[in-house]
Amino acid sequence: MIQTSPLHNYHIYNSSPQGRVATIKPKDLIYTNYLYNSNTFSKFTRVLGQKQYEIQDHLGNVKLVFNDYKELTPISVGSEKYDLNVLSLLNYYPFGMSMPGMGFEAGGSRYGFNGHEKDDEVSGVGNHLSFGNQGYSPRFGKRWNQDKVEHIDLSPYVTFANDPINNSDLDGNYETRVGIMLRQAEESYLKTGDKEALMAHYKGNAVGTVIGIIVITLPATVPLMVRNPVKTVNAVNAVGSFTVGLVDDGNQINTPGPIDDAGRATKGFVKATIGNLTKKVKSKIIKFDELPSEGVVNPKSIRFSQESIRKTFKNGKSFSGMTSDLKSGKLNPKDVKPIRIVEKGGKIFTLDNRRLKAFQDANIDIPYQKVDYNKLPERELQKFTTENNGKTIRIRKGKND
Amino acid sequence: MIKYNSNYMNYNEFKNFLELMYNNYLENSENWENNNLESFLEALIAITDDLDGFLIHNERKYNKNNPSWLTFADILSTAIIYE
Repeated sequence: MIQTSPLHNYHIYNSSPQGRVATIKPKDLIYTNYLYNSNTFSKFTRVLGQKQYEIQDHLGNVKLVFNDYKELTPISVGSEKYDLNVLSLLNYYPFGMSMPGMGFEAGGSRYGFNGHEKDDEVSGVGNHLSFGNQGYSPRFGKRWNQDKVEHIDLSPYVTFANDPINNSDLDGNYETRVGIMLRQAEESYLKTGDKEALMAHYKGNAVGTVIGIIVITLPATVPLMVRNPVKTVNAVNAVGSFTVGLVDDGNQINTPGPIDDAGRATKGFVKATIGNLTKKVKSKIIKFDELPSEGVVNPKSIRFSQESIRKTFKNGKSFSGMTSDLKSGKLNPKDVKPIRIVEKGGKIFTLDNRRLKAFQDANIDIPYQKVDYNKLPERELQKFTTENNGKTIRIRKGKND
Repeated sequence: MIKYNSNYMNYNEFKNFLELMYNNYLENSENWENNNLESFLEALIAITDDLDGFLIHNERKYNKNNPSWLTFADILSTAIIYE
């Protein structure tokens, strides 16, 4: 953010600021304006310093708080400059504890790490955050309560999926603002089929094709560094547009690759990059009642009904073949018969385990159709043999193994 | 669809079940997931192997070490649709 003439230019913080106006006690600085019309005489008063603005980073962490009062600093006769009236400047350790000596609070902000309200009266300044009503201790990186959202692969006491650099916890879902935007773009693509809009989201305003290096100009912000278990992606040039250099084992990749239906590069590491961001988003737990009767869903959110499956479909083709066809784009997910899903004990199970496994392995959203568990024929109920609540499924040995 | 009593099955009921199953195959084999002998036998092995899980989800009065005619009807019936 840059203040322009007649004020001096100040670089406050990179990327687009997300302001939140908070009310504090009025200061004594009063700006008065008079307005006249034919019948009345009115006086309007605006008290400066009442409005606070926050600059947040990509996780919603409040880094800087300032107000609307310009602080006058005389330099010499006839020359003056105005300073930004900074109320607090905060830097955080990954799990949200503020770094001692790396910031200050004067007047303070009500909001801090992840944009959540601070409950300073609980255990000292900056040592407890409300996190909705969950209660969070940034010094321990733990909540007071279990996560209200159930995640199959995570302990309910884990915060930020143990990855506080990439994830923020807006609502217990580990969604960053960037992640939400990408998810919305993907959902919109699946609804409308508007590939151009999706590609625009992936590519930002960059002109050209997605190759080794992509330029993302997102209206919000992009994590400065995205860690991926396999590949590493570094974002450089943090102001305005983001040039994402894709690095594999320390070598920059510049090789163009073909692009699949969703506008992702199928070679190189663009897909891995975007996949990493969207994968985090997709870990959101879905409730059966909230799903439309049919559509597409993240396969990881559906459980298996059987304990084991055969390697092949009825027609003799292997489901691993389906996985690779899905990955390569040879098979369009829309052409696959939707899996039937039912709710049992508050959890979502499928009756079509092999197709689900193929889509899980391909990490592609799967078409589904809701079925009423209570109306299932007895024979289908007998399919339920899972012993671990459908989290995983065993693949049986084939005749050639 | 082969219906049978899931509480108890005697010798005659099991024989009746097998007849129903045979007729169902004659009329309806395209709806059987495992409609050839190889896949059906493989499914029989699989469901027998997964019987513990079956008994978690389906309430039965028998157990694995004390099977009844109903056990065999369950295994045969499930093998029709087991993936």
